[in-house]
Amino acid sequence: MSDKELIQLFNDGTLYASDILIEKYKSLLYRLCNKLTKNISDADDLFQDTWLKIFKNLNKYDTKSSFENWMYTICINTYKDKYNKKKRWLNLVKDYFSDDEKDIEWKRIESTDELPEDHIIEKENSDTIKEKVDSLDDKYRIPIILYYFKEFSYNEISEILNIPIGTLKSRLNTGRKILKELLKEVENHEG
Amino acid sequence: MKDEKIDDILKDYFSEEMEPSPRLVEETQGHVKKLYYKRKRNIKLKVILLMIFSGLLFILQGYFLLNKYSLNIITLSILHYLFSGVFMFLTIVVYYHRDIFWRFFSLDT
Repeated sequence: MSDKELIQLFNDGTLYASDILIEKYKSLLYRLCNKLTKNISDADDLFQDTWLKIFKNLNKYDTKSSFENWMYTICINTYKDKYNKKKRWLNLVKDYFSDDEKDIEWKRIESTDELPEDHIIEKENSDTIKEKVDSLDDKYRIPIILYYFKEFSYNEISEILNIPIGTLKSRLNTGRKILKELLKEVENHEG
Repeated sequence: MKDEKIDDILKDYFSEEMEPSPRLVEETQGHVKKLYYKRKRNIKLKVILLMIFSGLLFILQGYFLLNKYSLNIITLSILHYLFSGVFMFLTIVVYYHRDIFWRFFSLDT
């Protein structure tokens, strides 16, 4: 069943259509929420808030455009509205505790041989990349997430973010440049 | 590190498979259902308000036709039913195009 048919069904009063839509897009949306936010708890909240906004505004959805892109637009706008306004000190406190938790986790891993070494290195790499991506300003970070997340075209990203293509290209280039420098620094430091 | 390698690392990082917990999905589906029932209740409330408004207009126009213009009973009855038909028609139009009127009469919190 297509998205448009499911939306029509929901608007006509068939409630289970919402369950099917959520099931269909849950992984993709959750992945985006996870990359946008700084921790799992925020990602869960963003996931729920986005779905609620989607169903609240479903009667305003233009069926000529793609539902998936509309969903991403709502997710990013919700993130910008709500999660981006958090005070800086709160994130600093969270980072401090997450570092402590990391140490405990490392000690636990060292004392047991539950996880294969490759997995630990992979996880650490992923954490480093997340840290570097999260350190970028949102105006560079969000286009980069969308660019690599599903390899959207410039047109699609500019539509989702509602910014001109020229601005988008410039932000993407600057963001990628900063990110590459940051990752090169990590590699030089480690290597 | 070459640019292509960094591109590959970023592509891998952003395409990591992630699944929300079943509890989160269930909770979300529950919230959506609550929202749906709340919206349905609000639609009913709006229709009731419109019907009350329509009924008031029906009584008011009958009162004015009878007292202001002193019409005979046949003309009065015809006009009375004609106007009430118009009000009922308007109520039905508003109900079936409630999505357009939604923005103006939204009772959502």
